[in-house]
This record gives sequence, C-alpha cells and structure tokens, in this order.
Amino acid sequence: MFDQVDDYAHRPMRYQYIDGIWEMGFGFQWLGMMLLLQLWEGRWRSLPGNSVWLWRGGFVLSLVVLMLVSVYGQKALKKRITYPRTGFVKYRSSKAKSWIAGAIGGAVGVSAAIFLLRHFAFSGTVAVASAMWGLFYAFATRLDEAYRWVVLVVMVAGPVAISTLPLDRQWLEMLPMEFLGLILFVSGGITLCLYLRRTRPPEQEAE
Amino acid sequence: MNEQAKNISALDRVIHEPARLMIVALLSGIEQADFLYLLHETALNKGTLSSHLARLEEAGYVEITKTYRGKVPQTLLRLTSAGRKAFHQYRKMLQGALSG
Repeated sequence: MFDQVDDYAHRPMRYQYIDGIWEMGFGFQWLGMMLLLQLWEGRWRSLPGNSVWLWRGGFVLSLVVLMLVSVYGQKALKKRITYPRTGFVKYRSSKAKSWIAGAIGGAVGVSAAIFLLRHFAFSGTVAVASAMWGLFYAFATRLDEAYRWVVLVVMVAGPVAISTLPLDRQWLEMLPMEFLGLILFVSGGITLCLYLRRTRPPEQEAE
Repeated sequence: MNEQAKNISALDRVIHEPARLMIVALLSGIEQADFLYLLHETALNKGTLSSHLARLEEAGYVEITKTYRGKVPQTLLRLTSAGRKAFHQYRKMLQGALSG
C-alpha cells in the first residue's frame, strides 16, 4: 500500500525521462563541449593559429550558445511532442537553481575531463570515465528496457576499445569522450522513437 | 476505542478513496500538471477523473485552472497547501494505523 503511494508520488520525476529528450540533450551538450574543447586545444591541425575557434572568448561564447541551444531545444521538443501526447508537468524547482546546476555541471565536466587527461594515464582515464558514465546511465534510466543493456555495454566498452585504435594521440584523447556523448544522444533517439510508437498523437478536442 | 482504531476512523475519507489517493500522490511532488498527464498516469476515463477532481476541489485540496495551450483548452491542476498538508497527515495516520 505504502510502496504504491510512494511510487505514485515519484512518478512525475520519472516522467521527465519518458521521452528520451533529456538523454539527447545531455548527449548533445557533452558531444558539443568535447568538440569545442578539441577545437580550443588546437587539436585540429588544419586550423590557422589566429582562427576565431582558438580564441578563449570565442570558446566561452560557443559554450554559452551550446547550452542555450540545448536547453531551449529540449523545451521546444517537450512542448511540441511530449505535452500534447502524455501531458504537461511543472516541477517545483526554480529556474535559477536549474541554470546554476547546469552551469556547475558543465564546468565540473569540462574541468574533470581536462584534469583527468593531463594528470592520469590515458587508458586508465578512459576506463574510469566510461565506467562512471555507465553507472550514471544505469542509475538514471533504471535499465528499464532491453536495449538499454546494449547501450550500457557499448558505453562502457566502446571508449576503451577506441583508445586502443592505432590513431594519432591528439585524436585519441578526445574521441572516447566524444563517443560517450554520441552514444547517449543515440540512446535518447531510440527512447524517443519508442515513446512516439507507444503513445497516441494528440487529439484536437477539448479536454 | 483503542489507538489503532482511532487512527483508522480518523483517516481523511476524501483522500482515502483509491483514485483520489492516486491523484493527490501524483500532484504531491510537483508544482502543477495538466488533465492529460493525470489521465495518462491514472488510466481513469475522463468522466471519472473529472468527478474525482471536482470532489478534491470542493474539499479545497486541489486548485483547478482553465487555460489554453495555443487553441487547445488546457486544465491545470495544483495541490493547495491544505491538500499537501492533508496528504502528509493521511500518510502519517495510515502508517500509524498499519504499524500500530
């Protein structure tokens, strides 16, 4: 009895993950951040030294634009897809808190990536990062669908496998991290497709 | 009357009804939700859900706001502070009655 009441009380929190939009958004953000970091670190050798992409202000500005596109893109998708199909929910957290959490999360993610890459053995860093992503993914999604187990295995093993490829080290340092963002984005895409198949298009009649 | 029986008889009957308990529990952790969301989560039909919401509104536990999403009418639902308090009290009393 009590478990059921508790389950209902927690359903709205799980509802925000029902459509895979958060996975796509987070994957997009991470992939974008890693690509920008790669640009900023000058790892794309074809870029001239005075390229706008290598300017520190340009890097920060690009990060801000990336965050805005991600946040407002997710909101737009929710508004067009999720709310008309399975309903609208407004959570109790404030906008300011969400922005602060997003900014802190982004800064911590970039700092951790730079720190790990500069101070630890490369293969160990990749193994630790992918294992942490796997844990985060398993916790957030509860591995409630069969395909999520496949995503989990690819998420944990993929970056380690990439790090053993015979590629230029400058590429190898970023590719595993970019792969994590990409696989989360793909997982979100699968979740979204399943959600669209399982839910009915909105009715145009009054509620 | 012993303590356990007192607890059971004092349970809030507005919330105690299973469908209304579902609705109140769903609204307890959020700011607000629309009618479609409750319909999706409770699997009740529109008429039944409407009547339970009307009962909760009458008791002062739920606030109902009619608005529009574009051209489509939207019904927004929010648990009032009295509703939140009643729900917490209900859970506390039921827990006491079951464990006592």
